[in-house]
Amino acid sequence: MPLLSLAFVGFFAAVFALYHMVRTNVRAQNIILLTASLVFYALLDWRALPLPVAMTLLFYWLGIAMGRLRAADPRRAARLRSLAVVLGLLPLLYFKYFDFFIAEAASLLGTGHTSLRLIMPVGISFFTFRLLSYAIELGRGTIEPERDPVAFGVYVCFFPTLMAGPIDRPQHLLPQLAAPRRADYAMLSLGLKRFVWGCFLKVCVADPIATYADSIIDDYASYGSWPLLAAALVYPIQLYADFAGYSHMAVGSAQMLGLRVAENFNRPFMAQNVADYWRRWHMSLTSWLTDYVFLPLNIAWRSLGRLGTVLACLVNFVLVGFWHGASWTYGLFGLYHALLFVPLIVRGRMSKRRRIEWRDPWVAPASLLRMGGTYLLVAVGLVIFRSPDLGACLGFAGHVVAPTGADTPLPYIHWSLAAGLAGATLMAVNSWLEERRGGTGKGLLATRGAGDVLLVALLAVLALAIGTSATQVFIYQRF
Amino acid sequence: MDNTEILKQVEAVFRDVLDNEAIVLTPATTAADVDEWDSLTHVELVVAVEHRFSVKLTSSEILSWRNVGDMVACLAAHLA
Repeated sequence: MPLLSLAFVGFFAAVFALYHMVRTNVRAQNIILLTASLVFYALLDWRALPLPVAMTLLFYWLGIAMGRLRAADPRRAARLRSLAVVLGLLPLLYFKYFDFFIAEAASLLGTGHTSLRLIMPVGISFFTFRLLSYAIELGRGTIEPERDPVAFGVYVCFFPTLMAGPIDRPQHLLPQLAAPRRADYAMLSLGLKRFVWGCFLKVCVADPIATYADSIIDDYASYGSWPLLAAALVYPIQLYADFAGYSHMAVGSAQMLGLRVAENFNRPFMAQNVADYWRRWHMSLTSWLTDYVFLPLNIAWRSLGRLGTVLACLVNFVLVGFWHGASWTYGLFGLYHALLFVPLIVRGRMSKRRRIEWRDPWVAPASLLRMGGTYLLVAVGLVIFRSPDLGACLGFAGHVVAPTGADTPLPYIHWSLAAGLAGATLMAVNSWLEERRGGTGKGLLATRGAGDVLLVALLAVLALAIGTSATQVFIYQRF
Repeated sequence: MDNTEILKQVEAVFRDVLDNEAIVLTPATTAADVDEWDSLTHVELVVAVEHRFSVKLTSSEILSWRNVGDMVACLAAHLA
């Protein structure tokens, strides 16, 4: 049951009605959410359901045990934390990377190998990171163990964010699950508007652009330089509209249930440099890695000064890359971004201090130039990211510079691309307004009363009219 | 040195490293409350605080801080 389907709307409406019927009873609300999450997961992939259930139970128990040991025997508590991190990573390493390691090892040794053809359980990269975050925060002593197994189960498996995030933190979500959630008009209306806005981004921006970009990038050898450049330039918009569309739907669904989950985007294409871009793109993942990889390494290597920061950044971004999957192109994508960070670190242009100087920046030509330059750097990185292997990546770049073979003619006007770019223009206006007014939901979605109804109706009609059976699955569901 | 004096000196370090004389710290202050305090400047602050108080903090001590109050308590334990 994909998030973008009438089946999900029906499922959500039933959960929503039951959930708000028991609005004063926290326990009943959490039981409804956990049951809905398990049913949702079973409908997606019932064979893999035992994995999140077992991992949730294991970490619940480990959390209680760590809580007991923390005061009595901190060393054993720290060892238990390390064990939890290893146990949490094992299924992810097995399902996501094992085949890759085997193939690469066999290739290195020049021996044959048999792929296990493992099917990755839905949402494993996301629920694993939630579990690890819980164990690490417990180990740091910044949270207390969750004693309610139902609330803990909801934290790990909350159905709107189960498939592809955002990756929530325990200190953020668990306290919300301890209090009753009442239906509040402001939250309900914003949640609904964000849900339909997400549908709009996916159906009216990402998918129409995909019909252009995918067909060209997948068959790059048949095209000349200009179509390839155009495809590389529109792909960031496609990927953003796809993932931000999903994220709006997930965050909006949670808001309708009275829960504020983490945000994933903060208008990334308004970024003034690559460091600024990464503070605005897939924020729930990047902040996770900053807190649990970059910061510990940077602190441990602080005696090395800026070299320590560069090394921590390198490790961090290679992990960002490989988080997306077992492929050298993902690793190279991470390395590429790490290298873009090096001059920023050396010149001290990475920190928030610079961002403060850039407040209200988008009217100045210099700042528009910085935005454009950052977009181009991001687009180059996404060519690496989008390529199935290094050969295809180099092949694409080679064909841009020196196209060979037949140059397949393209229609003078590509209607699908034009429709997608028209939708993207609306998306850009919304971003511009939000940046101006200082927050998500303060742009085109900042309607009230009858305006709310009109906006939801308009976006829903557009999404239903343009959406076809060709609607593609969300890209980040694969990760 | 009591916690109030430590907090005062930590505040001076923050103002110096973050180049902002308007910064006012309380035990409840977090990175979210100070514009210039992020993952990168955090490490610069740690190094400057270690230097100011002539202490060597462990990674696990630094990573367990939830706010300025935790930082001050940790420094107080080292200076006791």
